Amino acid sequence: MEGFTGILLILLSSILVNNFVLSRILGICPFIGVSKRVETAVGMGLAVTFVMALASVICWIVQKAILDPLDIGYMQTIAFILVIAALVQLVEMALQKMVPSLYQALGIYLPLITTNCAVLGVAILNIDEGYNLIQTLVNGIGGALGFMLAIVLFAGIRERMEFAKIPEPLKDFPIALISSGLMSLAFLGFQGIV
Amino acid sequence: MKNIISMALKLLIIVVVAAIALGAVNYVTEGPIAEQQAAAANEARQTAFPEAQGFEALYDPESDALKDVSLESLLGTEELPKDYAIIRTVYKALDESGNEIGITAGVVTKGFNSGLNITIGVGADGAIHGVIVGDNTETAGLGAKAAEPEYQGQYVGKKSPLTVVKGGPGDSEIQAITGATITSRAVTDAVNTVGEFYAALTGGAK
Amino acid sequence: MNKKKTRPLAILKNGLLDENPTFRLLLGMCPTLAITTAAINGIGMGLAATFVLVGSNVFVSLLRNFIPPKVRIPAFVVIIAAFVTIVQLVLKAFVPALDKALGLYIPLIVVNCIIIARAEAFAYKNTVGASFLDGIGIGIGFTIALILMASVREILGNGTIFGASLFGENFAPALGMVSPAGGFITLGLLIGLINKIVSVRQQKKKGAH
Repeated sequence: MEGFTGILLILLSSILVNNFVLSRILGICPFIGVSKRVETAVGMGLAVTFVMALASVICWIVQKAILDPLDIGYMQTIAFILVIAALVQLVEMALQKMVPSLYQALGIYLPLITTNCAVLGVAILNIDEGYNLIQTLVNGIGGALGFMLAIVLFAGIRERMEFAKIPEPLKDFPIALISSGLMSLAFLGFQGIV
Repeated sequence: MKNIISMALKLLIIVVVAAIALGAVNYVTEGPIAEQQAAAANEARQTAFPEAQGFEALYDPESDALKDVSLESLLGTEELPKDYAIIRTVYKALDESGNEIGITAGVVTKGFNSGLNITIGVGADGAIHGVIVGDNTETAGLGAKAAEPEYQGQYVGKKSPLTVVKGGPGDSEIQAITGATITSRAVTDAVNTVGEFYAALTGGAK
Repeated sequence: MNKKKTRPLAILKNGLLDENPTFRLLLGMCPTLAITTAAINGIGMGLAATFVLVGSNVFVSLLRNFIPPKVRIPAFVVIIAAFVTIVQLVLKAFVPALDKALGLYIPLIVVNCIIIARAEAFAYKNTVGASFLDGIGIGIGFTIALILMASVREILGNGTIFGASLFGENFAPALGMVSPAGGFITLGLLIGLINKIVSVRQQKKKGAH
């Protein structure tokens, strides 16, 4: 896939067609946990986008510069997760200093970006699909934007649902899951575009 | 400062111990893993070309013996058609006397999702001897059906180039899987590419 | 209260029921939703995750006085990642079919919130023996939840259970069940069901007094 169209297609694919949350099923925990308010969802989405983009690139570099040449591919999981943990730590410290309100709003969910399977997932996927550096960056950003799209849409739905009559056993988590299922069905409509 | 160094050191110790342990496990499992992959590839080749009594590697980037062989060198050309990029391995299919009766090609292409592995056997007469769809991430119940014998059996005996149709396939046509035309087309395109490659290989060199 | 929780049987039962990671603690959603398209995958993932969980719990507990509190999360993560890599390599070498079926989700066990959560909440503060049992209990709870989810989706979505056809040729399965959407909906309904069962039992307990 050459040039600009290739990039566009990867972007389209990772945001809509293979949406990380609704198609690839990555990043569920924060998806369900954080998305109760649209503003928080947007903030989380931006933080994750930043981490995913950087993590994608750094992990790719680590793979090509260290793991492959030394033939220690089996250290991939440890290496990648350490990179991600360090990145999240940095983002935490940066946010605390520069945007303390967002830092407060995200609370426990900020360090939890480390365990967001979408971040580790995209890093591994980039290697598996054989992307070059630019494609990796685009896929990382695209995946994160897809994640953000999913949680913001979802937060909007959940804000509305606060006013709906829902049977007691289904309240909160179960109904959130069922709604996600319906969203996932809707996103199936994008399949086949790319 | 001392505190940070002490913490970092302890963390480092844990990482190093983990790395050593993993190195050991890797050492033990490397052999079996390679065996598994070789066995699987061989099985795919045999199923893609049932009549073959043996196989000889023609093009295999992973093989040391064939380090200098590239698709370009096999065809005697400088530039390859872009489609050929999907061809990952080429093996000669041999009969009991060791004569070449065709080839099997291992292909990785993109159907609905990327990572669609196919092994294709083409005979010297240009007829397809087998199409085996291996590892793939196609949609279960739809594209994934390409790995089923009923679908794959369609290709046997036909000659490429083939086209995909929705119903009542003729001699040069393949019936698409309902709801999975993309996957069906991807497999057929791969088959056509291999057919074209083999024709170029035998036509040009001989 | 704490004394009760450290008795072996109580610890095991805790992981299976009261603190079932999937249905009660609501952790480890990604693999639960993603791989439960066939019952056999449920068992495979459950056992792999249990192995990692037990290994991680035991080592975190062993090293609980060595690991400084400030870097405990990275330390946990490295230990967990090591065990996950072991599972990856062993599966690739000896059970490649399972490796293919579970795919990306095997390395993703490393970020399965269940494992980190147990390291933090239990193994870092308890003895090796108790941590071992906790790992087994929670691991089995997770495995059972996976098998339950996967069975429902496989039966309805594919007409088979553990690969064995149930309804014969003419059954047209609800394909949607094996899609991600089906996963979300099945899990939502199962949790709702269990919530209902739990609240009915609580009512009964109240009523008995």
